[in-house]
Amino acid sequence: MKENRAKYYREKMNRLEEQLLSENRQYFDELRSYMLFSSLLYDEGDINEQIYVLANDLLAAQADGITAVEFFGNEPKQMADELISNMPKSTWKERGQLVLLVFGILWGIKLISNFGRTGTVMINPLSYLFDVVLAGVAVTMVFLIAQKSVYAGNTWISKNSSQIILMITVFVIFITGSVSGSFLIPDLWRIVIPYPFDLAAILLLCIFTGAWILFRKMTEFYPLLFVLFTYALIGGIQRYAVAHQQESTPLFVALPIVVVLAAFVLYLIWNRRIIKNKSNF
Amino acid sequence: MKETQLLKGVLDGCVLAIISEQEIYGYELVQRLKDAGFTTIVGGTVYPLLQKLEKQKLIKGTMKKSAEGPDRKYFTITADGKGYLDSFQSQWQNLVTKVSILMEGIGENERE
Repeated sequence: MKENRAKYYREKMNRLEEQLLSENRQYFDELRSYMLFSSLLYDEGDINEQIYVLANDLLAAQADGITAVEFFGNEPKQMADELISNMPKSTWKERGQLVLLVFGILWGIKLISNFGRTGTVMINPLSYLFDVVLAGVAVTMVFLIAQKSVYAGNTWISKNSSQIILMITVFVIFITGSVSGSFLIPDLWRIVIPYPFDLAAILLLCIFTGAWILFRKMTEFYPLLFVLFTYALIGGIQRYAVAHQQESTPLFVALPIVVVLAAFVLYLIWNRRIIKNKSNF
Repeated sequence: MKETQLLKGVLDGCVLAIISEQEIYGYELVQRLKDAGFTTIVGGTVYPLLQKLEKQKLIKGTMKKSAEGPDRKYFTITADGKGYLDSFQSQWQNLVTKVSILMEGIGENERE
């Protein structure tokens, strides 16, 4: 319900934003970005409702010829900080759900990419735990960089080049850490999932994740489905080929490549349709 | 001294007084304050204040369809808010009387 409320106001806000004049839109964009990046531990529904109220009233001010600066003043950061400090914090249950969502996506991608290879699926629980810590640090860093860069004035972080360098640095640290972790972390409690249980596990993962994303209409996670199903299909083909000693035949060498290309084309078509629908709206 | 600094302690009462007269939304409230002579007041001061008053349960915000179309958050005063406003008004009158007497005394001394 809360998630729906956040989505409801987010969508309404997007429609309002389109009606703002460029000067007011820039002011509002910054305010919105700052508030969203500063409120990771706050109730998302309340934050979005508050930003929607501000957007709506700004539109009323604009209709009377008043600019965003004239209406809200010269200190939007101070206003945003005060508003956020009075917002209700998200419950421990909601925070737990958010953490589980991040863990789920991360572990799902790691598991499915293991499955996409030809060998037996092996899980190193310590490596999975390490990735979670690494992802937590990376996500916090990304939010901090995004938040600090909004009202940075003329400081170094306000420059696009600095932000790009910082984001790339975080990304490189995450990838390097994750890759070195998989080599350096001791494989103490290895879990082996032999064929055909790996196939069954991936099928279950695909069905549950697909159903969860589609039934809850989590449109922002639709691209993830392309990755999930493509890896699952490639893994399935490779396992079938290995089981039937066909992995070196031209058909089974070419099939994974065809699947990746087909998935990419499908994704492009789907993405184009989404963009077209949005522009027609 | 800046007017906003002087206003800090009394703006709650002014906002409550306006809301007690009529159901009102943020933009309208800012305009009412400006019309009343508080020309330096901006939304950046009013919205956090509205949120604070709502959190203290002195006002209640409800999303409603406006005559112009979109949903707007309209504020009404609560029973606690009315109590707070009554108390504010008597304290304010008391303060105005004291300050006026003091200022008049200083003015008379300067004339002598």
